[in-house]
Amino acid sequence: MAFSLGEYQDIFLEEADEQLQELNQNLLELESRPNDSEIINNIFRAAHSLKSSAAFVGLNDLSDLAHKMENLLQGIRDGTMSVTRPVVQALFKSFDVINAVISAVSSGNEPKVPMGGVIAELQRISESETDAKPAAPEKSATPSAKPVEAPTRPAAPDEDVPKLVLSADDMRAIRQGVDAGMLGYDVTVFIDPAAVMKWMKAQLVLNNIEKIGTVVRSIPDVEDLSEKQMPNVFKVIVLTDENLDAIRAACDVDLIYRVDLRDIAVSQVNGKTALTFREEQTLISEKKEEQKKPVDVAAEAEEEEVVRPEEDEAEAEIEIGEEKDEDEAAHPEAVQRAEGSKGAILKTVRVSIDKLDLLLNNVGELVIANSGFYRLYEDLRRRDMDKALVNEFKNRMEQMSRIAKDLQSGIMKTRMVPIGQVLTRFKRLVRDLAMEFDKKVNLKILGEETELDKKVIDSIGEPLMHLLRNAIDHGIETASERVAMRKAEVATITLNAYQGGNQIFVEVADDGRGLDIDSIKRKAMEKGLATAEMIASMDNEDIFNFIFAPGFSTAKVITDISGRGVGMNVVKEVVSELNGNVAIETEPGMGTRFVLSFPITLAIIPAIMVKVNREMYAIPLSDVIETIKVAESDITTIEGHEVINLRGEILSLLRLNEFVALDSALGGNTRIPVVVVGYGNRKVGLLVDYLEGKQEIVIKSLEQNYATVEGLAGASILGDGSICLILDIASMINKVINDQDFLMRRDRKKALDARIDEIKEVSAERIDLHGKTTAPKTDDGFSGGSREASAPAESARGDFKDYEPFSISAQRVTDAKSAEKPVDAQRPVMAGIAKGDEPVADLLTRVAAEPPRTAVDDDEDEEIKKRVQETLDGFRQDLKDTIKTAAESGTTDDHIMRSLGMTREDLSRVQVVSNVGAANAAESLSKVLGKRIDLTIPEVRVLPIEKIPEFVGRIDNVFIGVYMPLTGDIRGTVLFSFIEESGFELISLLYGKPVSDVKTIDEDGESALKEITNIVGSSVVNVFSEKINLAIKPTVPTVVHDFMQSILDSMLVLHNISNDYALLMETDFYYEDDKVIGNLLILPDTESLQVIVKKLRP
Amino acid sequence: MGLEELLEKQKNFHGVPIEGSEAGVRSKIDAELMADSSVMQFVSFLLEEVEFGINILSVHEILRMPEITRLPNTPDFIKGVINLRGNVIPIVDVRIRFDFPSGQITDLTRVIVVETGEKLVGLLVDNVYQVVRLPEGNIDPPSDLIEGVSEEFITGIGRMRDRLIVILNLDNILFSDEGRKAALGEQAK
Repeated sequence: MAFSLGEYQDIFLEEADEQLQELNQNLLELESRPNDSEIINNIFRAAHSLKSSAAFVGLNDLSDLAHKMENLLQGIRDGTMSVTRPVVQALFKSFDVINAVISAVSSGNEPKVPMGGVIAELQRISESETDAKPAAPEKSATPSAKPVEAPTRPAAPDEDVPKLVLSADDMRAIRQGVDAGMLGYDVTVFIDPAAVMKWMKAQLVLNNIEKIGTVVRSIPDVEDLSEKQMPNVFKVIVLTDENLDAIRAACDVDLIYRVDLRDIAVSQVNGKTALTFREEQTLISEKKEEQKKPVDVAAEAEEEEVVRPEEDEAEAEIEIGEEKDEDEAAHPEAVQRAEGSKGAILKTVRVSIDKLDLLLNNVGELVIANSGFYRLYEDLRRRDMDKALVNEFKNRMEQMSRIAKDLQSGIMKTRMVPIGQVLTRFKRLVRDLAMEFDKKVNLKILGEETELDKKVIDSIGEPLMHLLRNAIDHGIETASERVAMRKAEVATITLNAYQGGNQIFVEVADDGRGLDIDSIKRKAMEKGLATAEMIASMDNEDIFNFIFAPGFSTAKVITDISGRGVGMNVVKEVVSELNGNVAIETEPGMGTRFVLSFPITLAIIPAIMVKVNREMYAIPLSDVIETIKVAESDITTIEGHEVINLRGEILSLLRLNEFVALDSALGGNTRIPVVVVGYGNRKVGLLVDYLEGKQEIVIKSLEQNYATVEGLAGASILGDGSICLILDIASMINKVINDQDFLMRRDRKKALDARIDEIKEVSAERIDLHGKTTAPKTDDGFSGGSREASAPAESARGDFKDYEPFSISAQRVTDAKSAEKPVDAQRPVMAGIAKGDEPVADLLTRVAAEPPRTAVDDDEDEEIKKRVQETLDGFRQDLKDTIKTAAESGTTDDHIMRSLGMTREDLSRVQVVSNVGAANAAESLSKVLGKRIDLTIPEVRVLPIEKIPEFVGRIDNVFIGVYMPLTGDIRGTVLFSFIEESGFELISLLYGKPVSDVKTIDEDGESALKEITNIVGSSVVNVFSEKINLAIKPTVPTVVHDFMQSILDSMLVLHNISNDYALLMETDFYYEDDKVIGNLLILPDTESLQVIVKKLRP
Repeated sequence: MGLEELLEKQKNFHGVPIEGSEAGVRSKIDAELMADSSVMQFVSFLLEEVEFGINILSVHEILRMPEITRLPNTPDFIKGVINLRGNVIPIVDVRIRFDFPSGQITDLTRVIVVETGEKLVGLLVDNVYQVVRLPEGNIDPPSDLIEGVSEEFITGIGRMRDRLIVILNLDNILFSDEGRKAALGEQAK
């Protein structure tokens, strides 16, 4: 359980923090102006408030400490002590202790800050200094002939309390009155400075007093004054028979918040009349008063403090029950300020930022929900509705929208806080740091009134602190250095805040030595952040940005680089979190300027909505530079990065679909929308599928219930209740850049390896990538002479050794996946080599472009052969079970199936028919080729169209695809895809030519493959046709010789497969035990699928 | 709150009955809650023939399959996020989280919204089976009895007549634990 001070803890913390700030700030000023009584009073007041509030929440140690501080300050205020360095240091030390206590409490810990030392020191200082305190001489009124002056107090704080100047007549009147048994009082009345018609108030008081006694004088003379001249404080000398209560009642006028009173005693001194003013007491106080006002006899005052407990501040406070102490109300300026803050207290409600956030969130939702009306209005307008009604609707809608927006901006404004409170607290930090580093620094603060979102205000302190630290530690030279450089001895650091457009800028500028770009370059290379070539091509700003890199700020760096280091990463991170940015301007010898920029508000942002496939993403408009459209052919690849030439500038591209791991929904020929986003001084083009327009969105954090997700700034709930993810351009680009750098490094390394190694070994490595443990030794490698065995076949065989027969189906998929990997992996290698070593690149290109071949292994291990046979047999035996398993093992197809109205049973029925069909097909194929044909269990899946390439796999391998559209009652397509070599081989088999002769597909070859497809496809289709009793008519097949991806694409496009989902039946065929022929894919369209399913139901 | 919601959901629940009538259950539950604080209640669900229980005090509400927005660049078991009345909350596919084969969405599929570490998290489960009441004494510390599910997700095993209920610890449900992965990797070796 966290430590807590109870329900007032929050209030206490907030106040204490404010008071501490005030203390720090004032003490700093006091240091430079030790005799400014106003500052002393300010400090005194803050210390006193702190003492009271600490006592209130039970932090008695803290209260004690504050009390000791107060004693010390009292001495200073009374002029019995001077502002010396030890005094100031002791006070600063006390503030630090208080700060430690406050932060302990605010982080929920019991404050266990040792205070004894500080308290003792304060005690010691105040005692040693107080010993020298001169006894205040008793002052009494001078003889009647002369005007009586109130004693001049040391460090008199309240000159605005009119001086008591009495004429001889007044004196006489008083003496006579007192002699007549009346009591004389000196009444000081304080009128609320905010009050209007003060003169009236004063007049009212005088009238009231007249009723109970005689007004000897009012000072100044109220009668003679106009309203404008009326001060806030006036004195009344009154003679009355009545007691204090009567006077109190007389003075109790609205907006008079305090009445002080002193007894006037008359005595004869040397035959002359003397008036003695006794200790002042407060009759009326709306606030707790502190009666440290000057008295005639200082010693007496001390005594009376003990005798009259109500004079003791702490007690008085409890009695009056006011939480705020406004000491020094007598001081006119203090009064002014006190009144100001009093007014603020009355008019302010403290609201937790959470509540505001919630409210703002709701209003944001309101604004967004409102946009739904616009859509509705557009719909209404399009229909032939009553025009008047539609217009009325529009008016109301717009009215509501206006109100919602006003509400939104109103609430937004409530979150705005002047930045001054953050900036001024750095004065202390700068002072301390300057002392620590022995430098002379002057902190200039500008734009304190600039308002910023509270969230920014709360978080900006830390980055600014780091920047200031760095400026003082590294940026600013020592005084002697500065003098040597003919710079002003005292360095200046400027903290400036200002608004510009939709952004708030906060600057930290120093006039120090500036960043040392060479050191940064060196360090960046040392740290492996960049290579020399990279650095050579970077502009200065990019290089300066290295200082934000994590780890660039270790202790070692600080000494190595004369530039900055500490905490820069923190700066960057915090600022990014606030959707802000950091820019660096630096000039050697002249100084450095860090400009932090933040959006004015964080809660609602305009965004560009984009779609990838079916998923919607929002890109904050502040990150967007422009949107363009490019053709796929405009895109070129440089070192593995896709780029375009945008008006003569090379723009790196980033495919959003790849980033979010989705397939793009765009076909090959469309122009692709590109959102050009800016990040720092870097521009990147984001390839998206569709642009959906601009929208205002409310940012909801993902951290609240989950965590920060790389590349995402949060989520937003759209008008229809759906969630849209907001891209965090900065982190997204960072992630991609990191990935690319990693890849580049890896590729570079590979490229080097490749250059060194024998080609044969490259080939071997490639096979290793297939996941096999027993790569066959190849003598002639990929020289092109071999033709019988194909790598996938090898791969299949190799894998069979390691897998149980039962898992063959899954294995096949694995195989397909692993088969595409090497090509991917090698591509960059090629790119890397292409720069340096042309011949090798050529060779490798051939390796990659052609499916690898291995030599016929004439001495093929009989053992392996046997096991493969066993495997296949076992697999056929287990066919039935496998179907069952396949049907039961859950896949993500499920919800698709559900949406199509299909069940698992339906799918397994399709599976059964497919099996029969596949067996039929194998039989036909076997007859045509005159060879035994083996096949895998057909895998039946329901997939979204865009998933088909992924499912088929090997999309980057070249295949010969033959697709045959189906018409009749069932529509769809049959695709028979042959591995290139197998295709050639089949052609040669059918035409009885030597296998090695067939290298391309001529017309004859095409017709042969078409024929095979026709036979095989029809045999499957016929089975379906029979089962469901519907006519399915195969049409003329088409041959495409291309990458699998292209084959699939052209099939989908040419056959206008516009459905969202397809049922896929895929079977691999093998001949001569283990050689892959290719696979057969049957895709009925969605409606047909549903027909088939329905027909198959029992 | 959670309980009301649960009972409301149970009303629409097909196939798996909660014991007794709805009102009866409620009063019974209430009575028992009042009477004996050592009786704990768990919302249970079945997964691969194992019954898992979640302390009812952590259960915020139970939803039918909502629309889930995929969250890229997150672990497999994070299905995505949903909009729960303006709150964006993550959905954990319990099957994947527990290294079971992924399942299918059916009419019985539910999202149990739980509160863990001040975060709201939706657990995608095949079904919601029952609310079970177990005296504290019937809950044993985790044992090796339960295969498959990592211990980090289990706080105890509840015995109820002939049934065993795996009481889940939700603390680790949302984040991958590198240590856990490492440990599994070691075992595999």
